Amino acid sequence: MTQLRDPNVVAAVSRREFYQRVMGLGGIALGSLLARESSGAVPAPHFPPKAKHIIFLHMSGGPSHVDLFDPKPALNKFDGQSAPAELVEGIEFGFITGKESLMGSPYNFAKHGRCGMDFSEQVPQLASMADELTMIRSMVTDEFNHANAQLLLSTGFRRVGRPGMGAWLTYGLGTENADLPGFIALFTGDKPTNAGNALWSSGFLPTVHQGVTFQGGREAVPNLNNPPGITSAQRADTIATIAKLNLAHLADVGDPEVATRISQYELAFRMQTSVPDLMNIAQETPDTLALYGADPAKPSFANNCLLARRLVERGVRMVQVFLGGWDAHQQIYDSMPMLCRQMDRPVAALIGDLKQRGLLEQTLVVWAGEFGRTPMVQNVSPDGMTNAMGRDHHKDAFTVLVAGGGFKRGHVHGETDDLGCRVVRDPVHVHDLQATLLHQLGINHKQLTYRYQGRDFRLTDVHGQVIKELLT
Amino acid sequence: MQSSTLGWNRSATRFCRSTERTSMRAISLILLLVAQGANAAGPDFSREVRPIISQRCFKCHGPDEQMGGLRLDQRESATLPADSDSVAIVPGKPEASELLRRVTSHDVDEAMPPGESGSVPLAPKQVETLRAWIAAGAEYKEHWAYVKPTKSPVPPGTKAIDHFVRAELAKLKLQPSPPASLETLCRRLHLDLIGLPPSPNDVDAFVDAGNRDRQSAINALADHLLASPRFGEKWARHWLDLARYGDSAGYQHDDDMPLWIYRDWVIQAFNADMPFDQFTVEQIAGDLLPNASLQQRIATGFHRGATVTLGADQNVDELRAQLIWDRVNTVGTTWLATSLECAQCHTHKFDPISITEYYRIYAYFNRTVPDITKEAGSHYFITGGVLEVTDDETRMQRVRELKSAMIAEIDTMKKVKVQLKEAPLRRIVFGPPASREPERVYYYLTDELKGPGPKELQPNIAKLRRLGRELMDTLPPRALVLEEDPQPPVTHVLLRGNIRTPGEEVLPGTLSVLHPLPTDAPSNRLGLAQWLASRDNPLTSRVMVNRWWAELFGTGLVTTPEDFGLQGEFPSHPELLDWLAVEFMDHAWSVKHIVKQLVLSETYQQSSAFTPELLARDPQNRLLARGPRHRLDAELLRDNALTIAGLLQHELGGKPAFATTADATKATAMFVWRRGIYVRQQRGNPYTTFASLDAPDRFACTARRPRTNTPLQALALLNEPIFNEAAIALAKRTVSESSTEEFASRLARMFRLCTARAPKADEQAMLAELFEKTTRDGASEVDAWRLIANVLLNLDETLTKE
Repeated sequence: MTQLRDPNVVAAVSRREFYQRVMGLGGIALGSLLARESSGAVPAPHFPPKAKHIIFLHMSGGPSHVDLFDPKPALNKFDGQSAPAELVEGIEFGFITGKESLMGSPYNFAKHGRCGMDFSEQVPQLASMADELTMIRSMVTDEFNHANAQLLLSTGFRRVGRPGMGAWLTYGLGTENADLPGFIALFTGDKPTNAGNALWSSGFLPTVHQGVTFQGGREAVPNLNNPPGITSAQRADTIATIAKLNLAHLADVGDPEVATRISQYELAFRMQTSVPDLMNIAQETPDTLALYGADPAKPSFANNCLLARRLVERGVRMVQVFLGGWDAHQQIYDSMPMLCRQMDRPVAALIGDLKQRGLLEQTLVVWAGEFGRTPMVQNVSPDGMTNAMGRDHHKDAFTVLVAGGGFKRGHVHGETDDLGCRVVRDPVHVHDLQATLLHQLGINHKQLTYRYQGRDFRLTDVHGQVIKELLT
Repeated sequence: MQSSTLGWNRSATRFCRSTERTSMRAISLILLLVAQGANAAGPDFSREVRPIISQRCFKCHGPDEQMGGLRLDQRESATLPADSDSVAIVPGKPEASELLRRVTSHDVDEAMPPGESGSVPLAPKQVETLRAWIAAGAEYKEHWAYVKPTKSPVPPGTKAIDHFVRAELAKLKLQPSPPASLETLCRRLHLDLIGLPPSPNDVDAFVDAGNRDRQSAINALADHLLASPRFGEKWARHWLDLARYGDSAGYQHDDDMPLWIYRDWVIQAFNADMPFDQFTVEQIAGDLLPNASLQQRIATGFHRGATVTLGADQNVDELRAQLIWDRVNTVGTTWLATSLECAQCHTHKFDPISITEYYRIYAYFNRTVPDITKEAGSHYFITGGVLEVTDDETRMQRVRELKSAMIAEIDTMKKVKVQLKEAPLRRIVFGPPASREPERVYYYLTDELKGPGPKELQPNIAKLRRLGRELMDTLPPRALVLEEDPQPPVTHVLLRGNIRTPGEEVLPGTLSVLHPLPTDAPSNRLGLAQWLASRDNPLTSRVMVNRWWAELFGTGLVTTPEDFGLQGEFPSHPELLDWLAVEFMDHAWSVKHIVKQLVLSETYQQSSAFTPELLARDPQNRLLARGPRHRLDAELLRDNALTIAGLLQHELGGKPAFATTADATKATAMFVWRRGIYVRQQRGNPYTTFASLDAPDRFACTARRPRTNTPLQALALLNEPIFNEAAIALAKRTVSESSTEEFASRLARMFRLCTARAPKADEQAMLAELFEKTTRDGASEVDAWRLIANVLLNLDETLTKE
């Protein structure tokens, strides 16, 4: 079958083609000019990084930790009884009052791997990766609304307007592939986000750092395809002619911005080749496709996980992969097996594939929802259905998984109480997770700042500490 | 209209602890007094010293925190012993000043700023500045932006702008650039004043007139363009960035928000040259003016641009607080160029603004009816302050008929005995009265009800849908405005910006570091409006002329148009900024007067070409030794391409337009080729082309757009439907409008439409080569012209105001 085409070769070919057209038409040496970049100093990490890339798998809606990763026999034992008042006192819920009955998980848990990590039967493939994972059972967040909690997780702040983590990373570390944006978002599932593009916004940073959404289907990047009636040869000719005219004009006006524009049009042309090549997962071997459960003909979370690997392979700094549908206010045991079938195999495949290619050590793979779900049942659904059998939003305890990038292998961090309601040992706040991820990428989260409206802003706002216990 | 209140903090425990430490006004007086004894020999406090201590020290030793008992933002406290008994600043004695010892110390426990907060030590040059300043007497001066501007004298017969700019150039031995060509100037004036390029005929007429008398031709063209209705369409755009104007509510459901009537109000206000003080008062508090007109009420739509988080599980009190915070912060940035939001949670770390003062301004806005009402379950509706804008009584009669017919139909439905499984139907039949309101019923039945519903009710549902459709088509346009609550809630300081920790109760009031409230100012938003628009306000007029300046020159005289506080940049030409600020107020706050002064200056009319010397010495053109040259804003790139192509639709105002043809149907096609300012602002899902060209998503007040240069922009300008349609139309226009088939004359016309000048011989040769190659490869003549049009529409020169 087709061997994976080296992305750098693809880029080099299109670059050469571009030069040939320019040379062929006018014989102007653009090389030195095009090498010029509009940005000033090349950004660099604060200290030698453990990892270079991050794939952030965002399970939008908030998966239930007590049904997947945090086994609670006591919850089953007291199933149907009211939660103790002192346990739920002061907790903010979305819909329920807190007086609802406890609801045990119907799923069996078992220990996996040499490390003996507990997983629910719903995630057998992930369980097979136990020895690669750090499982943080003691995550806490401040927000119990989807949009706010997602913003906090992605941008470090509960409201819109701050840069996403990937924007901070390309701002702080630069890009490794001039043919692709450094921060890319991919989606699947029902309501993949509640906060929309605010999650991968550049906020107050220059817009060049904004995350770019790659869609499935005809056009992965907006306006990538030539309009009907324009062939790619014609497009190459137009861009070459624009470059020549701009170059002549540059001699008159002397504005370095003209030189930048020439190089950005050239990059646009190269992206017209590199992006379709990147998106073409049919280039993968049948074995790889099967490993992920990916099907080139049908957009899926599995395809996106495979794409995420192809993106980091090409030097993209951060890929955010959203899978919606976890907001189970009703019939949680109908939706959960369906979602786990979509999620389990591709995530395990991604970790295994990265490892096999030697990329896992330099890539952080994070699996996280914006919060967890209540140990108590939600009886009335948001639209009034009774006997709903759901779980409500829960910000005071949830589980996050991290693989690669110098995080410990086969390690469980923190602990919740017997009912999975509150963290009782080693809490990790969202800002702590962000500080720790940045640390692995060679960034001191307190020093990566941007002056805006008279203040130095940073991803972790004024909070966060690196949790050294998570790291090798 | 809803008029119930949210019970905001009414039952909350009252804390009477005063958080105000010192009167800020007293501090500024002290600063002013000591400034008079300043020693001219030392470094300038405002320009050189304050930026260092403000950025590096005030966070822990400033208005909010005084760690170790040290406060450095006032001379009085900085020269007294701190907790350690050492004195930070001993005027005249750097060697005895603890401040210098600490910033030069290598002992980790003593060095300042402390290493653990991620700070790096002061640069040696900064230490020397502090040393020299202390040696010279360590005098403080009041922050420049808080002192009322005055006009410095200008020699007779000189234009003030050119006088101040050339004085700076002379100091640095730089020469101004030669005047721009008449063609370039014609295009520059058109793009700057009306945001549209000139036609070749416009250029010819201006060049003719200019060759006879350059100055009077420029004067006449400026007057002509300032009087054009297109002026408001161009100049309203940046105001709408500040007003975070959008056509949808924001994230989550991103529902429609009827604000476009306010957008048109702004355009009309700029066209009518409404005095800026009136423009201010009407937007802040038009509803509170005596006998407020419909237009004055519509003006308060400024505040309704605040974003709303309509979540399934959102706390209504928190939503209300979010909206008011946004209003306070937006007013702060827009009129005062001050980032008040720091004081939302704690006293400002840098600027002299306390948390109590923040909530005094908040109190002005905590007196309106709720914007949002919540219904059982997960449904929120935008209500409160909704105006129906019509005087057509027949139309309103039909609205009432339709509504009663729908209510009657719902009553019929209630009598049908059937088991209801569908939530939308249950809400209509069993829900509270609010959920039987006809517009909501229509929404439930069209947007929410999946499937046909129970057989017994299908005729009722069909009838309700039919009536509802007609109701939607008959309802007059709506405008969102502010409306006072007759029983406003009490306002408390919200400690740490948290609605669950209310502090002391506060009454409406303003910032003590600035001018006092006018004595007769009412204790409501009208009082705040009068305070903002007062001649005594040192900020408003400076902030505004700086914005108009940036619209023309690309960058403000103050490069931080959003921040005139201690952390903001010092103006490049302070006397010029102040002269313009006073001139603005002296000429009845006329925006057009100021804009005309700017474009009539020789500084504006210079050539914008770089010389190697200017590129090396002043790449950002802060010294203004050349004219402005920068890429057009997102909306203007669209307007420019559509005008060149002859496609632009010119109706003034109206409903939001579709971004591209793909979004419209045949029936709504006329809403596509409209100016960028009319393109629908779907905040949760913005028009990608505009977003890639640096247009903000309008979630929050934006005072300054970045100006980036990216491959996504190139892809949009090459391939996006609007720009593709423009290239095709330009090609057709070139072929059909020309009387000759000669390549050179067709090309010249196309080139002039794009750049306002004729192509040079080498440019013509490059384009001829492309044309010949394309036709040789088998393309038709029109298709070859399309490619040429695509090239010309993407020239840097076409995309740039030169």
